[in-house]
Amino acid sequence: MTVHSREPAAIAASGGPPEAVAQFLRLSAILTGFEEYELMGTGMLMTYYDKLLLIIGAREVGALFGALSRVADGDDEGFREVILDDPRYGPVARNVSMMWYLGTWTQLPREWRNTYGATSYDTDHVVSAAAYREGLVWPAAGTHPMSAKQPGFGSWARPPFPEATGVGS
Amino acid sequence: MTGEQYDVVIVGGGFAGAAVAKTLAATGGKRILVLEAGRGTGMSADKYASHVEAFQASLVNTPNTPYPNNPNAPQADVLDIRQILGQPAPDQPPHSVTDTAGYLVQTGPLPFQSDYTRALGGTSLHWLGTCLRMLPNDFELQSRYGQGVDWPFGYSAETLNALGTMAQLGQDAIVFVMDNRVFAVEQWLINADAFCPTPNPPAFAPLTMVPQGHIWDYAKLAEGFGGQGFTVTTNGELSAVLQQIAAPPVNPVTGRPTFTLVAVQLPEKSLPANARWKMTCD
Repeated sequence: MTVHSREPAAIAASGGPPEAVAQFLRLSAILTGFEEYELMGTGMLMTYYDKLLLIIGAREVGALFGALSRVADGDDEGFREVILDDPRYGPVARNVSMMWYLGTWTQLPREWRNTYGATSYDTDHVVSAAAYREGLVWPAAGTHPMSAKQPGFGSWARPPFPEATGVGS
Repeated sequence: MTGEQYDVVIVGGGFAGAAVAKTLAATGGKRILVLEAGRGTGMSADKYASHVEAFQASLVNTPNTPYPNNPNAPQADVLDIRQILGQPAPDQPPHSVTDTAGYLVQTGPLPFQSDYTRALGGTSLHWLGTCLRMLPNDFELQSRYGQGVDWPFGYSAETLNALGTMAQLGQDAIVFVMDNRVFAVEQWLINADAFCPTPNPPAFAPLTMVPQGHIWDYAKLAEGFGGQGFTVTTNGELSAVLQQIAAPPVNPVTGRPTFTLVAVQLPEKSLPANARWKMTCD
Protein backbone atom coordinates (compact mmCIF):
# COMPACT_ATOMS: atom_id res chain seq x y z
CA MET A 1 0.00 0.00 0.00
CA THR A 2 1.40 3.38 -0.96
CA VAL A 3 0.46 6.96 -0.43
CA HIS A 4 0.32 8.65 -3.80
CA SER A 5 -0.48 12.24 -3.10
CA ARG A 6 2.47 13.10 -0.88
CA GLU A 7 6.13 13.45 -1.64
CA PRO A 8 8.15 11.41 0.85
CA ALA A 9 10.12 14.53 1.75
CA ALA A 10 6.94 16.40 2.64
CA ILE A 11 5.69 13.51 4.73
CA ALA A 12 9.02 13.19 6.51
CA ALA A 13 9.06 16.91 7.18
CA SER A 14 5.69 16.65 8.87
CA GLY A 15 7.12 14.08 11.29
CA GLY A 16 5.24 11.00 10.07
CA PRO A 17 7.08 8.12 8.45
CA PRO A 18 5.35 7.10 5.20
CA GLU A 19 4.59 3.57 6.38
CA ALA A 20 2.75 4.82 9.46
CA VAL A 21 0.78 7.32 7.37
CA ALA A 22 -0.22 4.53 5.03
CA GLN A 23 -1.47 2.53 7.99
CA PHE A 24 -3.41 5.52 9.25
CA LEU A 25 -4.93 5.95 5.80
CA ARG A 26 -5.94 2.28 5.70
CA LEU A 27 -7.49 2.56 9.15
CA SER A 28 -9.35 5.71 8.12
CA ALA A 29 -10.76 4.16 4.96
CA ILE A 30 -12.05 1.12 6.85
CA LEU A 31 -13.60 3.32 9.55
CA THR A 32 -15.25 5.90 7.32
CA GLY A 33 -16.34 3.83 4.33
CA PHE A 34 -14.74 6.37 1.99
CA GLU A 35 -12.06 5.37 -0.49
CA GLU A 36 -8.45 6.14 0.33
CA TYR A 37 -8.20 8.56 -2.59
CA GLU A 38 -11.30 10.40 -1.37
CA LEU A 39 -9.75 10.82 2.06
CA MET A 40 -6.50 12.08 0.53
CA GLY A 41 -8.56 14.46 -1.59
CA THR A 42 -9.72 16.29 1.52
CA GLY A 43 -6.16 17.41 2.18
CA MET A 44 -6.63 16.53 5.85
CA LEU A 45 -4.71 13.24 6.01
CA MET A 46 -1.46 14.55 7.47
CA THR A 47 -3.28 16.95 9.77
CA TYR A 48 -5.32 14.14 11.31
CA TYR A 49 -2.34 11.80 11.51
CA ASP A 50 -0.32 14.47 13.32
CA LYS A 51 -3.28 15.24 15.55
CA LEU A 52 -3.67 11.59 16.57
CA LEU A 53 0.06 11.28 17.25
CA LEU A 54 0.02 14.45 19.32
CA ILE A 55 -2.98 13.46 21.41
CA ILE A 56 -2.39 9.80 22.23
CA GLY A 57 1.40 9.59 21.67
CA ALA A 58 3.67 7.35 19.61
CA ARG A 59 3.30 4.29 21.85
CA GLU A 60 -0.47 4.09 21.50
CA VAL A 61 -0.40 4.89 17.79
CA GLY A 62 2.22 2.18 17.25
CA ALA A 63 0.18 -0.38 19.21
CA LEU A 64 -2.95 0.53 17.25
CA PHE A 65 -1.23 0.08 13.89
CA GLY A 66 0.33 -3.14 15.11
CA ALA A 67 -3.12 -4.48 15.88
CA LEU A 68 -4.43 -3.24 12.55
CA SER A 69 -1.70 -5.15 10.69
CA ARG A 70 -3.21 -8.39 12.01
CA VAL A 71 -6.48 -7.65 10.19
CA ALA A 72 -6.65 -8.79 6.58
CA ASP A 73 -8.14 -6.54 3.89
CA GLY A 74 -11.89 -6.96 3.72
CA ASP A 75 -12.12 -8.84 7.01
CA ASP A 76 -14.86 -6.76 8.63
CA GLU A 77 -15.45 -9.30 11.37
CA GLY A 78 -11.76 -9.36 12.23
CA PHE A 79 -11.63 -5.56 12.27
CA ARG A 80 -14.55 -5.42 14.68
CA GLU A 81 -12.99 -8.00 16.96
CA VAL A 82 -9.42 -6.68 16.95
CA ILE A 83 -10.05 -2.93 16.81
CA LEU A 84 -13.60 -1.77 17.53
CA ASP A 85 -14.38 -4.18 20.38
CA ASP A 86 -10.99 -3.75 21.99
CA PRO A 87 -10.97 -1.45 25.06
CA ARG A 88 -7.59 -0.01 24.04
CA TYR A 89 -8.18 0.56 20.31
CA GLY A 90 -11.96 0.91 20.05
CA PRO A 91 -12.33 4.38 21.63
CA VAL A 92 -9.40 5.74 19.58
CA ALA A 93 -10.81 4.30 16.36
CA ARG A 94 -14.19 5.88 17.06
CA ASN A 95 -12.51 9.22 17.67
CA VAL A 96 -10.61 8.95 14.39
CA SER A 97 -13.90 8.25 12.65
CA MET A 98 -15.53 11.31 14.23
CA MET A 99 -12.52 13.43 13.33
CA TRP A 100 -12.95 12.54 9.66
CA TYR A 101 -16.72 13.05 9.68
CA LEU A 102 -17.06 16.12 11.90
CA GLY A 103 -13.59 17.68 11.94
CA THR A 104 -13.68 17.61 15.74
CA TRP A 105 -11.70 15.71 18.34
CA THR A 106 -13.75 14.49 21.29
CA GLN A 107 -12.06 13.80 24.59
CA LEU A 108 -11.43 10.08 25.10
CA PRO A 109 -13.45 8.27 27.78
CA ARG A 110 -12.21 8.66 31.33
CA GLU A 111 -11.46 4.95 31.62
CA TRP A 112 -9.25 5.04 28.55
CA ARG A 113 -7.44 8.13 29.78
CA ASN A 114 -6.74 6.56 33.14
CA THR A 115 -5.54 3.27 31.70
CA TYR A 116 -3.50 4.27 28.65
CA GLY A 117 -2.67 7.87 29.39
CA ALA A 118 -3.72 10.82 27.24
CA THR A 119 -1.86 14.06 26.71
CA SER A 120 -3.14 17.46 27.74
CA TYR A 121 -4.20 17.93 24.10
CA ASP A 122 -7.02 15.43 24.59
CA THR A 123 -9.84 17.97 24.86
CA ASP A 124 -13.04 18.62 22.91
CA HIS A 125 -12.09 20.89 20.01
CA VAL A 126 -12.47 21.57 16.32
CA VAL A 127 -9.24 20.52 14.61
CA SER A 128 -9.33 23.57 12.32
CA ALA A 129 -11.65 25.61 10.12
CA ALA A 130 -10.48 23.48 7.19
CA ALA A 131 -11.36 20.31 9.12
CA TYR A 132 -14.92 21.63 9.52
CA ARG A 133 -15.16 22.39 5.82
CA GLU A 134 -13.77 18.99 4.81
CA GLY A 135 -15.91 16.95 7.21
CA LEU A 136 -17.22 13.78 5.53
CA VAL A 137 -20.62 14.38 7.09
CA TRP A 138 -21.42 16.89 4.36
CA PRO A 139 -20.92 14.68 1.30
CA ALA A 140 -22.43 11.76 3.20
CA ALA A 141 -25.58 13.79 3.79
CA GLY A 142 -25.63 15.24 0.28
CA THR A 143 -25.23 18.78 1.51
CA HIS A 144 -22.53 21.37 2.15
CA PRO A 145 -20.97 22.87 5.28
CA MET A 146 -22.84 25.97 6.45
CA SER A 147 -20.70 29.00 5.49
CA ALA A 148 -18.63 27.14 2.86
CA LYS A 149 -18.84 25.34 -0.50
CA GLN A 150 -22.18 26.91 -1.40
CA PRO A 151 -23.87 24.80 -4.05
CA GLY A 152 -24.77 27.61 -6.40
CA PHE A 153 -27.73 29.69 -7.50
CA GLY A 154 -30.95 27.77 -8.09
CA SER A 155 -29.62 24.52 -6.62
CA TRP A 156 -32.34 24.60 -3.98
CA ALA A 157 -34.89 23.87 -6.68
CA ARG A 158 -33.32 20.45 -7.28
CA PRO A 159 -33.52 17.36 -5.06
CA PRO A 160 -30.44 16.44 -3.02
CA PHE A 161 -27.93 13.95 -4.42
CA PRO A 162 -29.77 10.70 -5.16
CA GLU A 163 -26.95 8.63 -3.64
CA ALA A 164 -27.39 10.44 -0.34
CA THR A 165 -31.15 10.21 -0.06
CA GLY A 166 -32.16 7.28 -2.21
CA VAL A 167 -34.64 9.65 -3.89
CA GLY A 168 -34.64 9.70 -7.65
CA SER A 169 -32.03 6.97 -8.05
CA MET B 1 -15.53 65.01 17.68
CA THR B 2 -15.40 67.93 20.09
CA GLY B 3 -16.93 70.99 18.51
CA GLU B 4 -18.28 69.03 15.54
CA GLN B 5 -21.82 69.92 14.58
CA TYR B 6 -24.30 67.47 13.07
CA ASP B 7 -27.84 67.88 11.85
CA VAL B 8 -28.75 64.29 12.68
CA VAL B 9 -27.21 61.80 15.07
CA ILE B 10 -28.26 58.18 14.57
CA VAL B 11 -27.62 55.91 17.54
CA GLY B 12 -26.88 52.38 16.37
CA GLY B 13 -25.36 51.29 13.06
CA GLY B 14 -27.60 48.31 12.33
CA PHE B 15 -30.21 47.66 9.66
CA ALA B 16 -32.50 50.53 10.71
CA GLY B 17 -29.72 53.02 11.40
CA ALA B 18 -28.07 52.33 8.06
CA ALA B 19 -31.36 52.68 6.18
CA VAL B 20 -32.18 55.96 7.91
CA ALA B 21 -28.66 57.31 7.30
CA LYS B 22 -28.74 56.38 3.64
CA THR B 23 -32.19 57.87 3.10
CA LEU B 24 -31.24 61.10 4.84
CA ALA B 25 -27.92 61.36 3.03
CA ALA B 26 -29.71 60.99 -0.30
CA THR B 27 -31.64 64.19 0.41
CA GLY B 28 -28.33 66.05 0.57
CA GLY B 29 -27.07 68.97 2.58
CA LYS B 30 -27.16 67.32 6.00
CA ARG B 31 -24.31 66.32 8.27
CA ILE B 32 -25.15 62.92 9.70
CA LEU B 33 -23.34 61.04 12.46
CA VAL B 34 -23.89 57.32 13.07
CA LEU B 35 -22.84 56.18 16.54
CA GLU B 36 -22.10 52.47 17.02
CA ALA B 37 -20.90 50.92 20.29
CA GLY B 38 -19.48 47.76 18.72
CA ARG B 39 -16.62 47.16 16.35
CA GLY B 40 -16.76 47.61 12.60
CA THR B 41 -14.40 44.79 11.68
CA GLY B 42 -16.76 43.06 9.27
CA MET B 43 -16.47 45.81 6.70
CA SER B 44 -13.42 44.62 4.75
CA ALA B 45 -13.08 41.35 2.88
CA ASP B 46 -10.12 40.01 4.86
CA LYS B 47 -11.69 40.72 8.23
CA TYR B 48 -15.01 39.32 7.07
CA ALA B 49 -13.11 36.15 6.12
CA SER B 50 -11.67 36.01 9.63
CA HIS B 51 -15.22 35.95 11.00
CA VAL B 52 -16.11 33.06 8.69
CA GLU B 53 -12.94 31.24 9.79
CA ALA B 54 -13.87 31.76 13.46
CA PHE B 55 -17.34 30.34 12.79
CA GLN B 56 -15.96 27.24 11.09
CA ALA B 57 -13.40 26.57 13.81
CA SER B 58 -15.91 26.82 16.65
CA LEU B 59 -17.21 23.77 18.49
CA VAL B 60 -20.68 25.32 18.82
CA ASN B 61 -22.14 27.33 15.92
CA THR B 62 -24.56 30.08 16.92
CA PRO B 63 -25.26 33.39 15.18
CA ASN B 64 -22.73 35.13 17.46
CA THR B 65 -19.98 32.57 16.93
CA PRO B 66 -18.17 34.59 14.24
CA TYR B 67 -18.19 37.76 16.32
CA PRO B 68 -15.89 37.81 19.34
CA ASN B 69 -17.22 39.30 22.52
CA ASN B 70 -16.27 42.93 22.91
CA PRO B 71 -15.92 44.04 26.56
CA ASN B 72 -16.79 47.59 25.52
CA ALA B 73 -20.07 46.49 23.95
CA PRO B 74 -21.21 43.27 25.61
CA GLN B 75 -23.84 41.27 23.76
CA ALA B 76 -26.52 38.71 24.47
CA ASP B 77 -25.27 35.17 24.00
CA VAL B 78 -27.72 32.35 23.40
CA LEU B 79 -25.36 29.97 25.22
CA ASP B 80 -25.65 32.11 28.34
CA ILE B 81 -29.44 32.02 28.65
CA ARG B 82 -31.38 29.62 30.78
CA GLN B 83 -35.01 28.86 31.35
CA ILE B 84 -36.62 31.14 33.91
CA LEU B 85 -37.48 28.91 36.84
CA GLY B 86 -38.45 29.46 40.42
CA GLN B 87 -41.58 30.39 42.29
CA PRO B 88 -42.78 33.98 42.62
CA ALA B 89 -43.47 35.30 46.11
CA PRO B 90 -47.05 34.64 47.35
CA ASP B 91 -48.08 38.27 46.86
CA GLN B 92 -46.54 38.48 43.39
CA PRO B 93 -48.24 37.63 40.09
CA PRO B 94 -47.20 34.52 38.20
CA HIS B 95 -44.14 34.90 35.99
CA SER B 96 -42.73 37.65 38.20
CA VAL B 97 -39.48 35.73 38.66
CA THR B 98 -36.56 37.47 37.00
CA ASP B 99 -33.43 35.90 35.58
CA THR B 100 -30.35 38.09 35.66
CA ALA B 101 -27.87 35.53 34.32
CA GLY B 102 -26.26 36.54 31.08
CA TYR B 103 -26.47 39.92 29.41
CA LEU B 104 -30.23 40.34 29.49
CA VAL B 105 -32.40 40.88 32.54
CA GLN B 106 -35.30 38.60 31.75
CA THR B 107 -38.74 38.28 33.28
CA GLY B 108 -40.81 35.18 32.68
CA PRO B 109 -42.34 33.03 31.61
CA LEU B 110 -40.18 32.43 28.54
CA PRO B 111 -36.70 33.87 28.14
CA PHE B 112 -35.53 35.55 24.95
CA GLN B 113 -33.57 32.65 23.53
CA SER B 114 -31.36 34.01 20.85
CA ASP B 115 -28.25 36.01 20.15
CA TYR B 116 -27.93 39.53 19.14
CA THR B 117 -24.66 41.09 18.28
CA ARG B 118 -23.41 44.60 18.89
CA ALA B 119 -21.24 45.58 15.95
CA LEU B 120 -21.41 47.82 12.92
CA GLY B 121 -23.93 46.11 10.65
CA GLY B 122 -26.09 44.87 13.51
CA THR B 123 -28.60 42.22 12.62
CA SER B 124 -27.42 42.17 9.02
CA LEU B 125 -24.40 40.26 10.36
CA HIS B 126 -26.79 37.63 11.68
CA TRP B 127 -29.07 37.09 8.73
CA LEU B 128 -29.16 33.35 8.13
CA GLY B 129 -31.15 33.34 4.93
CA THR B 130 -34.25 32.36 6.85
CA CYS B 131 -37.36 33.53 4.97
CA LEU B 132 -40.33 31.90 6.63
CA ARG B 133 -43.70 31.99 4.95
CA MET B 134 -45.99 34.37 6.85
CA LEU B 135 -48.79 33.08 9.02
CA PRO B 136 -52.40 34.23 8.62
CA ASN B 137 -52.21 36.23 11.84
CA ASP B 138 -49.21 38.18 10.55
CA PHE B 139 -51.52 39.97 8.13
CA GLU B 140 -53.95 40.99 10.88
CA LEU B 141 -51.76 42.21 13.72
CA GLN B 142 -53.90 45.29 14.38
CA SER B 143 -57.29 43.65 14.38
CA ARG B 144 -56.14 40.59 16.30
CA TYR B 145 -53.63 42.03 18.76
CA GLY B 146 -53.97 45.82 18.59
CA GLN B 147 -50.39 46.08 17.32
CA GLY B 148 -49.08 47.83 14.21
CA VAL B 149 -51.34 47.87 11.16
CA ASP B 150 -53.17 45.23 9.18
CA TRP B 151 -51.90 44.44 5.71
CA PRO B 152 -54.02 45.79 2.85
CA PHE B 153 -54.75 42.19 1.84
CA GLY B 154 -55.26 39.12 3.95
CA TYR B 155 -53.76 35.70 4.10
CA SER B 156 -57.31 34.45 3.57
CA ALA B 157 -56.92 35.42 -0.06
CA GLU B 158 -54.01 32.99 0.11
CA THR B 159 -52.52 34.45 -3.00
CA LEU B 160 -48.89 34.22 -2.00
CA ASN B 161 -49.39 31.00 -0.13
CA ALA B 162 -51.18 29.35 -3.00
CA LEU B 163 -48.66 30.49 -5.62
CA GLY B 164 -45.76 29.39 -3.46
CA THR B 165 -47.28 25.95 -2.93
CA MET B 166 -48.07 25.45 -6.59
CA ALA B 167 -44.54 26.47 -7.54
CA GLN B 168 -43.09 24.13 -4.93
CA LEU B 169 -45.13 21.16 -6.08
CA GLY B 170 -44.75 21.89 -9.78
CA GLN B 171 -48.53 21.99 -10.29
CA ASP B 172 -49.78 23.09 -13.72
CA ALA B 173 -52.95 24.69 -12.33
CA ILE B 174 -54.66 27.65 -14.00
CA VAL B 175 -55.62 30.46 -11.62
CA PHE B 176 -57.96 33.32 -12.44
CA VAL B 177 -57.67 36.37 -10.19
CA MET B 178 -60.68 38.68 -10.23
CA ASP B 179 -58.81 41.91 -9.66
CA ASN B 180 -61.07 44.87 -8.90
CA ARG B 181 -58.56 46.61 -6.55
CA VAL B 182 -61.10 47.03 -3.74
CA PHE B 183 -62.39 45.01 -0.80
CA ALA B 184 -65.84 44.85 -2.35
CA VAL B 185 -67.43 42.52 0.18
CA GLU B 186 -66.37 44.71 3.11
CA GLN B 187 -67.62 47.84 1.37
CA TRP B 188 -70.84 46.08 0.44
CA LEU B 189 -71.38 45.27 4.12
CA ILE B 190 -70.66 48.84 5.22
CA ASN B 191 -72.62 50.63 2.51
CA ALA B 192 -73.60 49.01 -0.76
CA ASP B 193 -74.62 52.37 -2.23
CA ALA B 194 -70.94 53.08 -2.91
CA PHE B 195 -71.45 50.80 -5.93
CA CYS B 196 -74.32 52.91 -7.28
CA PRO B 197 -73.91 54.02 -10.90
CA THR B 198 -75.83 57.20 -10.07
CA PRO B 199 -74.05 60.55 -9.89
CA ASN B 200 -72.12 61.26 -6.67
CA PRO B 201 -72.50 57.96 -4.87
CA PRO B 202 -71.05 57.66 -1.37
CA ALA B 203 -67.30 57.25 -1.38
CA PHE B 204 -65.68 53.93 -0.60
CA ALA B 205 -64.67 53.69 3.07
CA PRO B 206 -60.92 54.26 3.52
CA LEU B 207 -60.11 50.69 4.49
CA THR B 208 -62.07 49.10 1.68
CA MET B 209 -59.81 50.62 -0.96
CA VAL B 210 -56.50 48.85 -1.46
CA PRO B 211 -53.89 51.63 -1.18
CA GLN B 212 -52.94 52.42 -4.76
CA GLY B 213 -49.27 51.88 -4.04
CA HIS B 214 -50.02 48.33 -2.93
CA ILE B 215 -51.88 47.11 -5.97
CA TRP B 216 -50.19 44.00 -7.16
CA ASP B 217 -49.06 43.23 -10.65
CA TYR B 218 -50.36 39.67 -10.49
CA ALA B 219 -48.84 38.67 -13.80
CA LYS B 220 -45.38 39.70 -12.61
CA LEU B 221 -46.05 38.03 -9.26
CA ALA B 222 -46.75 34.74 -11.05
CA GLU B 223 -43.54 35.09 -13.05
CA GLY B 224 -41.65 35.72 -9.83
CA PHE B 225 -42.77 32.32 -8.60
CA GLY B 226 -41.74 30.63 -11.83
CA GLY B 227 -45.25 30.54 -13.33
CA GLN B 228 -46.60 32.42 -16.33
CA GLY B 229 -48.86 35.41 -15.88
CA PHE B 230 -51.34 37.34 -18.02
CA THR B 231 -53.42 40.45 -17.47
CA VAL B 232 -56.69 40.89 -19.37
CA THR B 233 -59.26 43.67 -19.35
CA THR B 234 -61.66 42.68 -22.14
CA ASN B 235 -63.44 39.56 -23.40
CA GLY B 236 -61.29 39.67 -26.52
CA GLU B 237 -58.06 39.62 -24.53
CA LEU B 238 -59.39 36.82 -22.35
CA SER B 239 -60.26 34.70 -25.42
CA ALA B 240 -56.77 35.20 -26.84
CA VAL B 241 -55.16 34.14 -23.55
CA LEU B 242 -57.37 31.05 -23.30
CA GLN B 243 -56.03 29.94 -26.68
CA GLN B 244 -52.47 30.59 -25.55
CA ILE B 245 -52.60 28.63 -22.30
CA ALA B 246 -53.87 25.39 -23.85
CA ALA B 247 -50.36 23.89 -23.51
CA PRO B 248 -48.97 23.66 -19.95
CA PRO B 249 -46.02 25.98 -19.30
CA VAL B 250 -42.61 24.95 -17.98
CA ASN B 251 -40.81 26.58 -15.05
CA PRO B 252 -37.65 28.07 -16.62
CA VAL B 253 -35.60 27.40 -13.46
CA THR B 254 -36.64 23.87 -12.52
CA GLY B 255 -37.73 22.54 -15.89
CA ARG B 256 -40.87 21.17 -14.23
CA PRO B 257 -44.49 22.01 -15.06
CA THR B 258 -45.74 25.21 -13.54
CA PHE B 259 -48.91 27.20 -13.08
CA THR B 260 -50.66 29.88 -15.10
CA LEU B 261 -52.23 32.95 -13.56
CA VAL B 262 -54.70 35.18 -15.41
CA ALA B 263 -55.44 38.48 -13.71
CA VAL B 264 -58.87 39.63 -14.89
CA GLN B 265 -59.11 43.36 -14.23
CA LEU B 266 -62.64 44.42 -13.39
CA PRO B 267 -64.12 47.86 -12.78
CA GLU B 268 -64.02 48.50 -9.06
CA LYS B 269 -67.77 49.14 -8.99
CA SER B 270 -68.72 45.92 -10.69
CA LEU B 271 -71.03 44.04 -8.34
CA PRO B 272 -72.62 40.62 -8.96
CA ALA B 273 -76.34 40.75 -9.75
CA ASN B 274 -77.29 38.72 -6.68
CA ALA B 275 -75.72 41.37 -4.42
CA ARG B 276 -77.42 44.37 -5.90
CA TRP B 277 -80.50 44.13 -3.67
CA LYS B 278 -78.62 46.02 -0.96
CA MET B 279 -78.14 49.05 -3.19
CA THR B 280 -80.96 51.53 -2.53
CA CYS B 281 -80.32 53.26 -5.86
CA ASP B 282 -81.00 50.13 -7.93
